[in-house]
Amino acid sequence: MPYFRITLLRSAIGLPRSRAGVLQALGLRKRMATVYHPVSAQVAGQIFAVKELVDVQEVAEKMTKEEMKVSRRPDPGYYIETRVR
Amino acid sequence: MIGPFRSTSPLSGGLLWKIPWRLSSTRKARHRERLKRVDNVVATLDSALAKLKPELAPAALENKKIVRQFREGVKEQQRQQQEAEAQARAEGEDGAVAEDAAVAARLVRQMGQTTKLIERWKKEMPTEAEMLPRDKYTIFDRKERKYRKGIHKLPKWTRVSQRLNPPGF
Repeated sequence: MPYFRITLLRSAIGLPRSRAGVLQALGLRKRMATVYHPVSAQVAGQIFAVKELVDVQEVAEKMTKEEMKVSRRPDPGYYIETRVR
Repeated sequence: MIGPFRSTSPLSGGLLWKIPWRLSSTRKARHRERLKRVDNVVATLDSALAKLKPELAPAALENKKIVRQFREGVKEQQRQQQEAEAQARAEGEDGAVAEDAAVAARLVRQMGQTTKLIERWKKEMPTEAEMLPRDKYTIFDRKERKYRKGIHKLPKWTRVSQRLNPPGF
């Protein structure tokens, strides 16, 4: 099932109240927050209302917060051969 | 006098802000990036919806009247498509009627979802590449000499889509 991966890049401070309302409805509370919503015309309309503030990608699967954090973690540069007991 | 505490008009007076008359090249570059980002968002929405088949509307919305009507519309279209195909088969290769029906049937099959908003945006709004530099960096103002001022004078200009100006100005 395809999802929209929506990241809030710009805040709605100082913009009409309705923009902030749309962001709240999408579950975006602060900058750089990422949410996933299933691809549908309804969600597309919501994103369209705040298109200047967000970054959107279409992805196949949802990621949890933990998974996103792991995916951001850089390669440590080493691996553990055997665990010492 | 030079240094951070020099007595310039903005510092010595009350509220006096200096907005530069023209945008610097780096500001213009960032502005272009923002325009491209918005284009990219709209393109993503459009392509994602186009891939979505009409019958894949979310199950949670099953009870809503609009969705029911939408699905009935789709069924109606499918029925018409079958009829058209049947008619096309019956008529064989003769005439443009069969061709039209086949084209219509193909269109119905290819149809994904879209929204009026996105269609309107695609029709009316130029993309960043299509815009003239004049429209990218300046905006119409009836009080200004030559009717143009820098787009950075527009309030919240980094977070609004201001791409069109009155024709002829």
